[in-house]
Amino acid sequence: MLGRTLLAFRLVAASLRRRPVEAAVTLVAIAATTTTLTLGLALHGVTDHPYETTRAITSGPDVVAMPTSSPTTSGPRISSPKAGSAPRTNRLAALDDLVHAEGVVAHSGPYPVSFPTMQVNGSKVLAVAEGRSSRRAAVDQPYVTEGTWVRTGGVVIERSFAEELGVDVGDKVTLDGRSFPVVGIAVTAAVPPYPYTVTGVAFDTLPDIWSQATGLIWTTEPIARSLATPSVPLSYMLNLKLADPQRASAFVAAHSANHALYLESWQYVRKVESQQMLPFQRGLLIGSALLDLLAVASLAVIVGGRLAERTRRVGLLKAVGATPRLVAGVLLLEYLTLALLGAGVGLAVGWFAAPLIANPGAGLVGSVGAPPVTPADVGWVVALAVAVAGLAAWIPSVRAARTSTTSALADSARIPKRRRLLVGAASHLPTQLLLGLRLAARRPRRMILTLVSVTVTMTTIVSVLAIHAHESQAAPIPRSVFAIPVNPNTRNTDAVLLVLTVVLVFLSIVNAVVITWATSVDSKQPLGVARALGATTRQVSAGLSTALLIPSLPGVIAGIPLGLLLVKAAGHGSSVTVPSGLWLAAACIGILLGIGALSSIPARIEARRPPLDALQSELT
Amino acid sequence: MSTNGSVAPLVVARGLRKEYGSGEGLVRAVDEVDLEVAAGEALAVMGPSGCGKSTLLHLLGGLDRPTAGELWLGGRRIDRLSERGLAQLRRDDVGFVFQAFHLMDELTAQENVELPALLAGRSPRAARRRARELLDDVGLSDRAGHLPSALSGGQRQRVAIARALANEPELVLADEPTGNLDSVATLEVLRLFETLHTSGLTLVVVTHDERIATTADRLISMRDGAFVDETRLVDGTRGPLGALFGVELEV
Amino acid sequence: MQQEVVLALLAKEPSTGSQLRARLNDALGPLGEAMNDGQVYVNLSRLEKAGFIARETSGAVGKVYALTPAGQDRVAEWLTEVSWPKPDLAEFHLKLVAAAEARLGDPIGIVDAQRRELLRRLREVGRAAMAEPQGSKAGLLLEGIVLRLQADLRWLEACERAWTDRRNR
Repeated sequence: MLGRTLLAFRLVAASLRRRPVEAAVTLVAIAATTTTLTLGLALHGVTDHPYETTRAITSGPDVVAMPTSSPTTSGPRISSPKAGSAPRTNRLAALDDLVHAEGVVAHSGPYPVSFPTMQVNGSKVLAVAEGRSSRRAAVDQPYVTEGTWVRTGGVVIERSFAEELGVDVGDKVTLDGRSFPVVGIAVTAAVPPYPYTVTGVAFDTLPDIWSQATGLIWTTEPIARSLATPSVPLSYMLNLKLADPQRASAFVAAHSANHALYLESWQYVRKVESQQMLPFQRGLLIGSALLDLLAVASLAVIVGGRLAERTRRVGLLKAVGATPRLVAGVLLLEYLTLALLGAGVGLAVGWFAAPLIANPGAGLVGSVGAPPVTPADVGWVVALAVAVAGLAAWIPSVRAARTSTTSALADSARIPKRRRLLVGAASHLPTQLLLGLRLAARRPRRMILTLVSVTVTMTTIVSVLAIHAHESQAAPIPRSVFAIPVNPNTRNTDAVLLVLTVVLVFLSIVNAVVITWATSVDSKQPLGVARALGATTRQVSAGLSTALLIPSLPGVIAGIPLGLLLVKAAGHGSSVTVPSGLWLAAACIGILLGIGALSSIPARIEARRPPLDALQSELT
Repeated sequence: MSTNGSVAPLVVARGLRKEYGSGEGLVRAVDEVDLEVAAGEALAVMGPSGCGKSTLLHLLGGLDRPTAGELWLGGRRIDRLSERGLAQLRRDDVGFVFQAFHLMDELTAQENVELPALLAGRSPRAARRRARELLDDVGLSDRAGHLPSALSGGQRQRVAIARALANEPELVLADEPTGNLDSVATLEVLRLFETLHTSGLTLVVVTHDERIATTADRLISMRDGAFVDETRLVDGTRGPLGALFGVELEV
Repeated sequence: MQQEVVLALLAKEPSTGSQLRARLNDALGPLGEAMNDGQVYVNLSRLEKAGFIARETSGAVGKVYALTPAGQDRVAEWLTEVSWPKPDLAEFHLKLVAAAEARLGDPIGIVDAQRRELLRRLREVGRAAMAEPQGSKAGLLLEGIVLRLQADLRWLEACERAWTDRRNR
């Protein structure tokens, strides 16, 4: 047993040493696949039910209620809470009734709410300041992601708001001319995050400073009250928990008859949230879907790519008397070594890259705070690596077991079928094309693999283009009268898309390299023969390029509608902006040129060695 | 010698050397070899495996470049040719026959034979016609559409020979052409070589098998990268075979 | 070659001398060329005297010979014999030894000359074998001679190695 284990290790080491380039490419491919998966999984954490997660953690309310002031009440404004005792009482009475309404099981508030102008880092924005106590609330207790919860003299800022403004704990903000330290940053499920917070509050009393771009801050009750002004009087916010959260919308409908109240269900907040997810998380969602697709594509190439070569090796091992079990063991060990190494690299890269992509997500709990790569993710990635190793070892083992040793050695088990049409068409083409076409036609499986990979690559690029096109066309968010130098929302989306684009394009390139490599390994013998017969390097590399480009062309074309469909699907049916034809054409030509250029590299490397090597390495 | 001695030799090698490795591990696979092969001659190079005979053949055919020495083919110096030049040489001037056949598994017999002509830029129609002729010559016209995997060893080697002839080379180089064949297939291939030789083609065959070697006009023995012996086999033919091996009844 | 071969060839059917000759030629191919008709007839008359064959008729085709029961017994006996010609290498071996001991010549030179001679012979037989149509009986005989010669050549190689070693010692 020990001897056999030693032998297995020796064989694996020899195999890896003997073909360091191939081992390296396999390693890179597995690392890319696992990186992809790591990123995909990390993104799922961000995009999967982020609102629900936040709602659960913060004991989010089912219904938020605010009093409205009658539109007709345009008389003299109440300058202070004390002076406006009569309307205040009316308003609070309406809220109090709500607390005792049927179906309400818990509540928090009413909390005083004021609307001060906030100045920070040179920006002037409208804030919604909610006065809270330092005690934990039964309903809507915002989740502090940094710093502490409200304490005397300090404010806590909603995270998306803080991120847009670039505010950190310890910074100072100015509210209506008074300076306050920022003591914490928190998230909530009660109102939509910046810049749509205002849609969640009854704002019809504030016609003068109407703006959509508002964010939420929390402070102590006294401070909140003190920030009310005659023109912008104090309001209140009541959080309700219902016995049946699913009936929240019905509850809102039932009580909206009372015009003194403005109510919002949690479903409504979620809807605004998900709308706001566009284009933030929509990009992430599409990105993670594409990452998964890319992972599958390169996986298929890895497993398929080394099959032929492995089958012959299995034949060799059997010829010298290795049992099928030993053969399978050696193969498994070899792949496991590569797969686990690759998984390690992939996890490390994914770990560092995930926050880059996931961080600018909206102000919800799922995205930041928790590590982007969870132990479960690590488990999945390692499982994938082991599965790849198992599959890659299993298929040639089975195939070799089925075929006789001698035919495995000769590798004649796979008899390529003739493709009359392709082959017939080939005879009217230049030699290089003819060579490539015939190579391609006789390897239908490799062709399908290339087709799939290229389709995925093109789908990726088209999606990215479509998102960018949508971005540049989308109407900018209505600007506040308080000028914000750059719309931070757009700025962040661009960053997300840029990182995603870079990652996806990089992985697509890795994928293309792997396809090219696998094809050139497959074609080594025929191309070596061609060289021995006097084919020039150019003819050989053109042949290889053709063999790759034939299946790439339909792949590139198919990628266009698929990319658009993907964006449409991820956008929940919203309209899709088709990128300009120029860009699409550039992407098509770019991919095809890239594959063409890549495929000439192995041919050129091969050309530096005498053609003998390719012929003689046949049985080793 | 079967050819006129005054004719310039087709192949000339002077001080041909091929080294692999360096320092302690330096191997001289071909060590200062001088060689002339007359046009139309059939030459056999014999020796145990590892004596350098295959390397010599690869040098002659431009599959590999010598470390030192000079090499001419048809009056043209070829040891300093570029990779492109060597490719052209292999394509137009030399035909190779390998022990392992080296047919393209993906191509049919017909397509394999067409290949060199197509590489040389002939029209597909011309290449097809030539391939048909050649397959007919090697007796495989009924197997033209078969993939190599569907052919026997002898048939594969005959396809390979047809392929080697596609561009009408002056020189055919064969490396253990019957090494993978049984005795019947060996005879088929040897008969084919005999026909080629009779038609005036220059042949260089590398082998470790005396039987193959003695089909040539001249036999060179190689040991450790150098020539050690040369036998002119066409000299001193003994008339009827019976005189040598004849059967007599006891009287 | 023993006279039993003629006897055995008659076992198939009664034949004339010329029919026998034709069958011998068919089986021996070019190697039968050296045999003359006289040898066949001398053999036939001896076998008749020994009582192994008898003349059946004497018609237009000539004398037709057939096996007698004694002849049939002799053929059966002959078929079971396992005698084999002795390999005759001693003479050449002694030639080398003598040349070396008496310093009359270089054994290696002698081996080389012999080797060339055998290679030429191999060429002749090999060509004859190639010329035989597929499946011919004579082809098999020629194949046997080819293999013998190859074995002899291999022995010569061994001689050359051994004598080279001895000289270098």
